[in-house]
Amino acid sequence: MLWLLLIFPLVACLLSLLPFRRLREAITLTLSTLTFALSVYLMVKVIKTGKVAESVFYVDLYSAIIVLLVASVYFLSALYSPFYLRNVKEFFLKRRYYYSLLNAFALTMLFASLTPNLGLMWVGLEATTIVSALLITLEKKKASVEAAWRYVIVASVGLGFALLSLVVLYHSSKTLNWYSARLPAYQATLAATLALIGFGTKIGLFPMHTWLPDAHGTAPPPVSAMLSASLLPVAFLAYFRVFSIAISSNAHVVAGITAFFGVMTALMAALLTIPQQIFKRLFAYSSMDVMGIATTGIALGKEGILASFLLLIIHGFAKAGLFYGSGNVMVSYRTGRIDDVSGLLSSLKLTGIALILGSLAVTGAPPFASFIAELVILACSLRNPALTAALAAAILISFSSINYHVTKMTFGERRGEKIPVYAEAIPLLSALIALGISFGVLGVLLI
Amino acid sequence: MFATETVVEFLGILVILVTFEILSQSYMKPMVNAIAIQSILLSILFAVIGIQRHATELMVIAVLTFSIRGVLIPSIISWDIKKNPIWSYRELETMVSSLVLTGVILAIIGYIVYRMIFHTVFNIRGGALPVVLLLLSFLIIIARKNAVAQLIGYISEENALLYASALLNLPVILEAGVFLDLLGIALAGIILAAEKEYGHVELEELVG
Repeated sequence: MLWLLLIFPLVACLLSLLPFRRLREAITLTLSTLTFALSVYLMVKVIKTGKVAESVFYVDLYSAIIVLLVASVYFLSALYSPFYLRNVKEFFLKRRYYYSLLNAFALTMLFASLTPNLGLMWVGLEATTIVSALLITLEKKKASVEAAWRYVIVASVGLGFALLSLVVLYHSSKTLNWYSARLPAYQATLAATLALIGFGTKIGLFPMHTWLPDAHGTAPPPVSAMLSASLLPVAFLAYFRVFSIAISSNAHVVAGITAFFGVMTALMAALLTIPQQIFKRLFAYSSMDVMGIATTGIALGKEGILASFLLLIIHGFAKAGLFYGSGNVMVSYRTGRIDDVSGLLSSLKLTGIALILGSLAVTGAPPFASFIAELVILACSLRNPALTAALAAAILISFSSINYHVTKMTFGERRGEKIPVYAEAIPLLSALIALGISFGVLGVLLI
Repeated sequence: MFATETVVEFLGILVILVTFEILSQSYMKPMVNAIAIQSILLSILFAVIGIQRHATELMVIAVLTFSIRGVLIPSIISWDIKKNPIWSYRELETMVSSLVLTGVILAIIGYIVYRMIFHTVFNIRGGALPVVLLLLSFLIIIARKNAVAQLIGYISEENALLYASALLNLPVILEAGVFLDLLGIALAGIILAAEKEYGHVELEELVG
């Protein structure tokens, strides 16, 4: 079954090279739907049995969550892409390669999430850099090429550190499988610190985050959604595996280092949301903020880890919705600037609602489960008051800033042009999935 | 056994010297030649280790290093330099003398870092050389202002990572090598495509 999760996007990737536009769209949509259905089945199976080991793959609850997130956003992006592509004026990357690369992007992320071998996980992440960098250059804008270049250069430096971390890990434990690797505390600290710098670059952790706002801000919205909602969590999973090995090898100092960089990232990103003038960059900094909080969470014990993964799920769906909504606004208003957009609730009602729901979800407002997740992470951090204060400040600043910017866009004088209802429904669907999952979590907690 | 280790260490020292040659150049053409030489030296190094350990994957890495980073990518860049005269000019803001000095300081720091942090873990002969090479590659990427020079820095970084992986017998070295090469080719592709669309001068702004 697990092979199928890779075969579907692989087949879609190859068939999308055929020179028929409608066929490319249909194939991508069909096979992404099958991938999504299979990921739901895998999640159910993992909840029942605890883990699924098959051939060279090994999936536990955390991998299953990330696989589900990748497959869902892959499906939603396949659904949204035809609308956005029809509105792209000039292409830098040839249009016919778009779907092939989109499917390859999903394939590489799924591969990285399914394998228990950290070396192959690294290879998967390296491959995501190649395909996603090309996808960023889809539109003919100089800023896109610059962003892709910066992304590849910074990510390659980061992945260099990650490979060094794996070299240390393998040399000391003689295995790269995360479930069996154990090593002396000193080596574990060294491996985890290098992994924090290395995989942390892909997660968007401070100070290696410089590529993130440019890449997420200039990529086409369906690609931004995949970068933000699925690629960051895949890199997060890779670091989480090395971190877990370090903790089980008694390298407890790693928890402190991880929490420090996590909270610094959250604080820095929250502050950087305030002066933002371009809404896609605003949402990119919001992703960085959430990844910072989640990284802090894994350093705070078992409850913190569960809360971090819950935060990633809600953030994933809500952020995908925000980026699809951004695409709608860019098509309708022909601008990317926050100040040039107003009256979304009158001109693009469904998109406006999606943006409000999405921004509330990513900033941890009730009734979204991200609120519970952030509360749990804050509660777990109480042993260190300075950490709690910094985290609380980051959460508060990003909540006020992001919701202020989005409110400015949604209310006021009507300006934009109408767009098809189906395009408006996709961001709303994504935000509603986040809301549905939140109610599900609340239900489970109340029972 | 001793002879092989000596040859590997000697080749590693030559690689570091060639990297200083890259750091000391303001013109693109000598930089391209130097990165080709660095890659070819490393391909010989991988072949020597591969023969010693009877490791097929290292032999494949040696062939890939020679053909892609030693010949293909330098040829693409050289062709581009010939086609576009802008690359024949000096990179005006690069202060070569201070860069070489920074490189020397960084190499010493790299050696100290290796002795203090990594030596207790690895304890292998010549283990400091890939760490120094990695730091010098980062310096090329950070200090250089144009895209072609940064691509050369990336290839040097890739060489350093594969050098470390080969010395320590990392099992996924082949997969890592293939994907790092693909990324290098993608980078070269971005430069060529961007140049076609936006011209030469703008390409100076592709700063990483």
